[in-house]
Amino acid sequence: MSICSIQFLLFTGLALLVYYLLPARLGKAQPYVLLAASLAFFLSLSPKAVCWLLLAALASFGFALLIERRPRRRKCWLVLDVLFVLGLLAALKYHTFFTDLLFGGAPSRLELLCARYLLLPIGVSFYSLAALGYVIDVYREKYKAERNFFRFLLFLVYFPHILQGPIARYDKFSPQLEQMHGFDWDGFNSGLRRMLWGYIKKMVIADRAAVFVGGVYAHAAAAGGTELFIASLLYTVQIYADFSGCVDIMCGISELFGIGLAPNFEQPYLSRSLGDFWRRWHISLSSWFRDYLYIPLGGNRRGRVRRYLNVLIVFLVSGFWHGAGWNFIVWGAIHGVWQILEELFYRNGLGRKPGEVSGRLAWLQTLVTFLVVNFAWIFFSNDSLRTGLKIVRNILLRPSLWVLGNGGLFSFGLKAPEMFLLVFFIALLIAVDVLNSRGIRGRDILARQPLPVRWLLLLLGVLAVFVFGVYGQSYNASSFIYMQF
Amino acid sequence: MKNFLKTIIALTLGLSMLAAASVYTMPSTDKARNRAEYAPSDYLFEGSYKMPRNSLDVVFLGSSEIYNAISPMEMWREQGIAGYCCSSSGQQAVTSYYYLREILRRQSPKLAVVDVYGLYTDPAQVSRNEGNNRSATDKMRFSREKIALSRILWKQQKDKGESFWSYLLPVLRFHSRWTELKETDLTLRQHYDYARGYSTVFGDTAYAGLTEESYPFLSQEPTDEAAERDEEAAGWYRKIGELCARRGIRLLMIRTPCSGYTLEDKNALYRLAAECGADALDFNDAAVWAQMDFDCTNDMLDSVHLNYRGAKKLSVYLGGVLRRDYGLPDHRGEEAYAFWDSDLPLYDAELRAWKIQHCTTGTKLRKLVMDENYELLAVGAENAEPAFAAALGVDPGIPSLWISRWDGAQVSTEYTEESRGFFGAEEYEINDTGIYMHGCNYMVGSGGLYYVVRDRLLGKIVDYGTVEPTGKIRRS
Repeated sequence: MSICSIQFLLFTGLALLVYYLLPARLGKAQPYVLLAASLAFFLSLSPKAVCWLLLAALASFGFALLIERRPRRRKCWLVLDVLFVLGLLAALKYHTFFTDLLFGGAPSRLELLCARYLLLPIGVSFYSLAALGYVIDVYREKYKAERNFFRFLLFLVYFPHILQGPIARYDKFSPQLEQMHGFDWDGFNSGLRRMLWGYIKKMVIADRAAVFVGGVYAHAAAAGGTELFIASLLYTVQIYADFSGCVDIMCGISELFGIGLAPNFEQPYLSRSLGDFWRRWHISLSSWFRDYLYIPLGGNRRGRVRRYLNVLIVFLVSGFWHGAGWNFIVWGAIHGVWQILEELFYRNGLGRKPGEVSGRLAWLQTLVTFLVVNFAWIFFSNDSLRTGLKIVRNILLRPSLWVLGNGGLFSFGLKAPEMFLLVFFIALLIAVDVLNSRGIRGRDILARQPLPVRWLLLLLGVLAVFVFGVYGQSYNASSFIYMQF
Repeated sequence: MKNFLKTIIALTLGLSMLAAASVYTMPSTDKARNRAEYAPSDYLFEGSYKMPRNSLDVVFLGSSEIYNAISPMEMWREQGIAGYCCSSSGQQAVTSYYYLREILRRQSPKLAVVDVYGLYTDPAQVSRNEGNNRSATDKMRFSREKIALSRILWKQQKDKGESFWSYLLPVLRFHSRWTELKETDLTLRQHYDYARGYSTVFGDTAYAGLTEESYPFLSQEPTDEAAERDEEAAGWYRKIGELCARRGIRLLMIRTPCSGYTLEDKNALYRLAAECGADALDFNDAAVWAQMDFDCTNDMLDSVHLNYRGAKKLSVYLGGVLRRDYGLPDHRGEEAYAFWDSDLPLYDAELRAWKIQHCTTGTKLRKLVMDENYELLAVGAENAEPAFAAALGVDPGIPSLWISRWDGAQVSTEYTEESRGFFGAEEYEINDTGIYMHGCNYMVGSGGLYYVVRDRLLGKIVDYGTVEPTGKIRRS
């Protein structure tokens, strides 16, 4: 069941009906409705994946209880859980990478066996981190271990965050299950508006950009530098619109159930440095790495060299977490190295720090950061390091501006009207982000408009998704990029 | 309560908007341009909604073999019978059943005539494709019947990636057409059908490949064997029988002339009719052919479809049967049916248009369009067939724009340098790339005499193409 399908909307509607029509005396059953809906959703995506999810859940639930009840061996339980969950993740996600590394060439028997039984289960990267975070927090005595397995399972499998996050924290999520959620009209409206904006980002912007990006990258070796550069820019837009669109849809749905999820994006492409970028992009992931990897490694408490090393380790791990390939590791390395360079640059007084400047210089910092992020995405978006390098080489060595005037840009799957439409919606996306960065929320502006204007805009939004969205048979609508991680 | 009402209003508005988007993004029925963009150009069922309630005495159900073989307007002309072809390309038995249910919501016919094309195994399987499904359901109004039929047709096709919801909200299927929407998508839609569901693709062209040997039943020894049939289809035909019985409608099952037909096929038709409590009339019968003067080598346009000549013969013959054996009334002269009389000239104009659209040479075209009914826009006389240019009064030495009009006695042709103007009611613009009217380009090919023919009575463009220097017409 795709998130961008009528079936999914009907499924959500049905879950909402059951959720809110439960009599007050059964209010405590609301989490079970959510659990049933989440499991049904997960089953519809991949029945096999439920087994792996249950294994991870049982292990983390059990080890957390053991940490509390058998405190003398608490470290041992923690290590066992970390090994188990990471082992599961490695087996499911990285078996190809490791078998390639070990055996190379033609697929070995082990690789074939793995391919048969260990298909990458959807959401594994997200629920693994959530489960690990929970056990580590219990170990750190941040909160008590959960006694009810089903509530813990819901924390992992809750369908609005299982696919692409945000990676939930148990102490933020669990208290919201304590109370009975009555139907709140305003919250409901707000959730619907957020969903609509998410669908516009995903189906109108990301999937349309994907047509062009796919068209150009499919012929990366032969394509000219200008097309490749535009494709790289559009991929940068695509991945943001895709990922944040999905998060908006899912956070909107969660709002419909009265459950808030942590924000995952804060206008990342307006960042003025890479450090700033990672405080605004996939916030739940970067804060997870900060709390459970960077700080345990020593953070910035053990001197400058060690700090740089820690940054590098975190970003290499982050790259590897995103995908089992050298291109992802290089992507992580670019982010890590650039952050170290940034810090050296400012520390040695070669420039003014982002917080200290405004105006044109601030925009220049934003532009430089954007270009570095864009450069790194080139490796991220292609299936191998070699392809990424070819694209970079062609961008630098084979630029041709003729393609801008001779209609050549329209031969990669998007006709002229579609390209103009894409540009229009990208401009809208930028405008909304700029407004948000100044504390003006589009949703609030909309809420202040008279009813007819509000409705007209919302209905036009719905129409835009249905007419301008990329879906169905005419195009191969892309699945969400981040679902594979 | 207030919020509940708001929700209902918002949902209603949203769905209405999507329904409107569905109408305009759906490929239009553009008989004038006669170019099928996606589905076959025969969303024929749509016109049946425009018939006044309870005005039809007979409905004809079946595939293209029905809409090529039965012309209700010919029956009207000869017998005054009010009928309608509720047919669609490759119509399966299940579609016939739900079409009948749909038509019964507005009409109360005395007789249903069903062609059992879908009974035989091969056609039943072959016709299961998206194009046929779409042309059957897209223009049905939203109803229980549409939902049920769409569901069944979708289940047959769902392995091909179609969405069931796209049958109910066609914008889900056709939304990507927004880049190619033309004015015609908003204006040239078929709402009313002068031909009452009859459609012929090639006028009276005869199929050259048929001889009497093409019809095995003519020389077969009598047999009791029946052809293999599709049991699922047979089940739907039985349901049609039950529905007719419940509603007091007589049912006649027929098989239109088709090559390759055997006595086993005939036996299958008669057995099915007996199971359904229906009468049967097989048009694959030498005696019937003799009575209706049917020529199996000249009255077919291909191996299974009748051309206009054959359709006229079959319609007139069948009309006689319906009057004689089923007592269908003659409505001619009745005030309530006056619109049938006023539609006849328009139907005839459609027939002429079909002829024009399928003539193959400039000489034939000239004979057909040199008529007071037509206006002709001709461009680029250079290299045009001399006889055609001369007949139009066009000077081949001036390769520019000519507009020819017939004033009832002779053609008057004017030369104009204007690249914009009016052609009938249509505003045109001509440049190097084409002849543009209502957003469509009517220029085809390169070199020769580009022409556009407009029917004054129908008030629309009925043909366009290029008469090449060889005298042949190129249309695509």
